[in-house]
This record gives sequence, C-alpha cells and structure tokens, in this order.
Amino acid sequence: MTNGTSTAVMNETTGKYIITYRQNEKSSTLKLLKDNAGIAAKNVVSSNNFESAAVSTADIPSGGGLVLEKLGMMVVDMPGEAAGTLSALESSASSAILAIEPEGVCYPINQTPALSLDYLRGFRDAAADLYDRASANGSVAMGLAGASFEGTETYTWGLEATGARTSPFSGKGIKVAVLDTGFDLQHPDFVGRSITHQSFVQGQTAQDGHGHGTHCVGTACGPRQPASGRGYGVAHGALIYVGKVLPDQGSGSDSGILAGIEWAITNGCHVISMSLGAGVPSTKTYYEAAGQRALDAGSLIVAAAGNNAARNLGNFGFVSRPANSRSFMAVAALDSRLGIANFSARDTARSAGTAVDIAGPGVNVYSSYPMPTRNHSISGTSMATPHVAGIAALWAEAANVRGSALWQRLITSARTLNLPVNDTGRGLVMAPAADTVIA
Amino acid sequence: MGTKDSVQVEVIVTVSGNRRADTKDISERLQSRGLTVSSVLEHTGMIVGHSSEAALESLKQESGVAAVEAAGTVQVAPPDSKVQ
Repeated sequence: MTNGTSTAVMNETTGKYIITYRQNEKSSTLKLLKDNAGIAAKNVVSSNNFESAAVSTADIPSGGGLVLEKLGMMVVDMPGEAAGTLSALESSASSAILAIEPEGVCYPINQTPALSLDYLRGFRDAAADLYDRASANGSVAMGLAGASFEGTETYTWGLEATGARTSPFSGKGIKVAVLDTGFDLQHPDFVGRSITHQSFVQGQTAQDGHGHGTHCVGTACGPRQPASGRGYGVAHGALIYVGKVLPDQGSGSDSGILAGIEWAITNGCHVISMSLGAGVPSTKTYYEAAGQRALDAGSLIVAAAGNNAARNLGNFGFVSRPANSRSFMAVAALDSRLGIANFSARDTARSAGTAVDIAGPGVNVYSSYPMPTRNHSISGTSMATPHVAGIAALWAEAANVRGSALWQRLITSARTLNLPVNDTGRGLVMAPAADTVIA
Repeated sequence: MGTKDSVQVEVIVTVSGNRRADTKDISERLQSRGLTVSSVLEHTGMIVGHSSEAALESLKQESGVAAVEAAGTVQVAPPDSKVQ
C-alpha cells in the first residue's frame, strides 16, 4: 500500500531551479552559471527588461534563465547535474548563492487533489504517537513534547534553548540599552566591554545597588566564556548602554523612564530592554507614543509582561504597563521544559496592546550580580526580557534590520509552542542560525 | 483655597505626531499655561514637568498637545525575592 499519488503531488516539480543569491552578488552568480552550467549571458533575461516587471515562465529562454531583480533570484532551466555541481561549489557561508532549489508547484486550495485514505491514516497514527509520548512524560501542557533543556558547566539552559549558543552572531556593532537599576560597573566579567552609562535617578549614579539591573545586563550582553563559571550572555559582542531609571529601592517615576528611552534613542540604541512594570493594567498614551516613536526611529523596545500570575492558584494575572502598549514587545517567561512559568502574566484583558508577543527563558536564569556575589540565579519575566533583547541584537547584526523590521524578524523566527497564544504570544524567541537565509 | 490649586503633580505631555518638530515651542507655551517644565524630550516628542491639578485642563487645550497625563511609577521586587 503506497501513498503514491499523494507523495507525487507533494513532491511535484517543474524541472527548473530557483537560485536565491546574496544581495549584490548577481554578477558573481551569473558568472557561476556561465562557468559551471554553460548558461551564456545572452540566454539570461531580466525582469528589468519587462514593462512593470510583468514576466512569465514563457519568457525564460530554453536552457537559460530569468533574473527577478527585486527578489534577488533567478529561475534557471538547467539539468539536475548542473544544479548539483553548483550546489556543491557554493556551500560556504560566504558564497554568492544562498540556495538552489527545484521549482515546485502550487494549486488553488480547493482544487488540491484529494488526500488518499492512506495519507490520512498515516497522519492519524503520527498524531496519536505524539500524544502518547507527550502524556507519558506526565505533562499535557508542555510546550514541545519531550523538550527539556539543561544548563551545562559551560552554558546556561537559556542560551541552549534559544539557539543563541550556536548562533554565529554576537551583536557586534549593535547598541543594546538596559533601562533598570543600573549595573555593577566594576564587574570582572565585563572587563574590556564598551559600557556607556547614565543615571536618571536623582541623587544616584548608574552603579547598581539592587542587583536586578546587573542581572539583566548580564543576560542580554554578558560573556560566553567568563573567567569563572558558565557563559550566560546572549549578545556577548554588543555595545552596552546602561540607563539607571529605577532607584536601588522603591519605585521609579515614568518621567525618568521616558528620559532613559529618549537617551537610548538619541544614542542610536537598536534595542531597549525594560524589565520593569507598574503592576497595573491601565495604559498611558505616553508609553504607547514613546514605543511607536522609538520603533520609527530604529529602536525596538522589549518589556517584561509581568510576574503577577499565580497559576497554581488559578490566577493568570494580566500584562502590566508599559508592556501592555502595542508598541512595546511584551515578553513571557518559560521554564527549562518550555512550560509557562507559574508567575508569568497571561493576556487576560485581550485588547489591543495587551498581547503577550513572545516568550523567553525566565526560570532559574543564571547571570551576573553585583560583587562580591558575582553570579546569581533568579526567575522572572524580567529574566526572559533580556534574552529577547539580546537575541534582537543578534538579528539586528545578522539581517541588518531596525525597528519594526527587527520586530518582524523576531516574530517570524519564533518557535511555536503547544501553549495558548495569550500565554506565550508567537512562541519561544530564537536566535539567527548559521544557515538562515537572511536576505 | 482648594488643594487643586496648590498640590503639584508631575505631568507628562505627549506632543501630537505631526507637531513633534514644535516640541520646544509648545513647551514654552505650556509654561505660560502653568506648567513648570523640567525636561523637553525632543526625540520622543514629550515634555515633562509639574503643574497644579487645576492647570491640567488648560494644558490640554494647547494646540499640538495629544495628551496630558499624570506621571505614574514602576517598581522592581526587593533584591531577595525569588521572582523578579
């Protein structure tokens, strides 16, 4: 019994190949086609030569190609061996060609050939197997069946789960602002790092007298190979901007926080991490406006959703201000089994702005702490937020995008969890991998 | 002599999106309406200051002002909290 018909439909190709080339590498790609596939330049047409780029498959010369200039792609009529040769040649991280893929086909959705009973039976069996394995682990509400991340002697579980550990990017050249209780400016794990600091708290310097700020800076931008202990920083190559907007104890005024945002934008910070909240569900126009203006100026603000839930008691909490602004990316906290943290606020209000946008590692997060303690593990949506901020810095470096475009990268590369959207938003934040097709 | 005239509240004024270039001018006009300006945030288009509660209504009338709100506060948990 085969799924013959269905498999053939799913693998259907036209025989042509679609080459995605790195931006600005069109000439190199054309040369590769000429040298390795024998495709002469006169046999390659360009979308630029057609009125309003109105091209069709019929315009591809036989044995030639069509350049789609705006997309940075070519549709090429070449034999499989030539495609194979090109693939083998061009497989390094610096190659002109990002991908060579067989051209597939699409059908209007209501006209897809009928799925066979065999195909549906296989689908049912796979779903049943997944269910059995998930419930055998004793937790129905796990984010990903069987997921469990361990920290090692050398790296935190958060770096592992988000793919940050293996990402080739470090946030080099990217400015990350952490608006919090400041930072231990003498911390030994940060010797040699670029740190710009400013206090917006009257009577206090940016030196952290609480611990919270130092921990958040560590997660966002700390080292991978500190002199002692495991690596814990996501954007270990980023330029650090410390804005003290919260006093060593007590509360901070929104005016100081806005001044911190203004300072971060003025200094060209690409990411602003805010692990703070008012503990109230109301909104302020000024936060909504500040977040949107920051985005438009190229600064993405990431904020903690809130720790006001006690899920074991049936209390799901609410997303707190300022994370409840549309223009602030609100972050929830996950544990190392990718379950939602007991304290992580759910979007219970469900109006525009109150959404949880994304989730990050937020339980038992190891990071830096003021000396002499040096390192400490704590939990909170405050810890999940700098994971997202650090990964935003990696994406800013990898894809060279800013503001809303950076927001889009984080959301579209997030890993969907089997958890409700009002708990985790789009899912687990993921770092750019080495083989990601960036653009 | 009600408390409304004497109690000073910290105020954050959001300038309308299309008038952000005039933020500085607007801050000066707000001063004559009773706002004691402490800072002008040109990039975010906001003005921070103090005024009496009674003056708040008047501030809202100024052309180019999108919102006048009392400044709120935020906090972090004590350092020894397991959850922060």
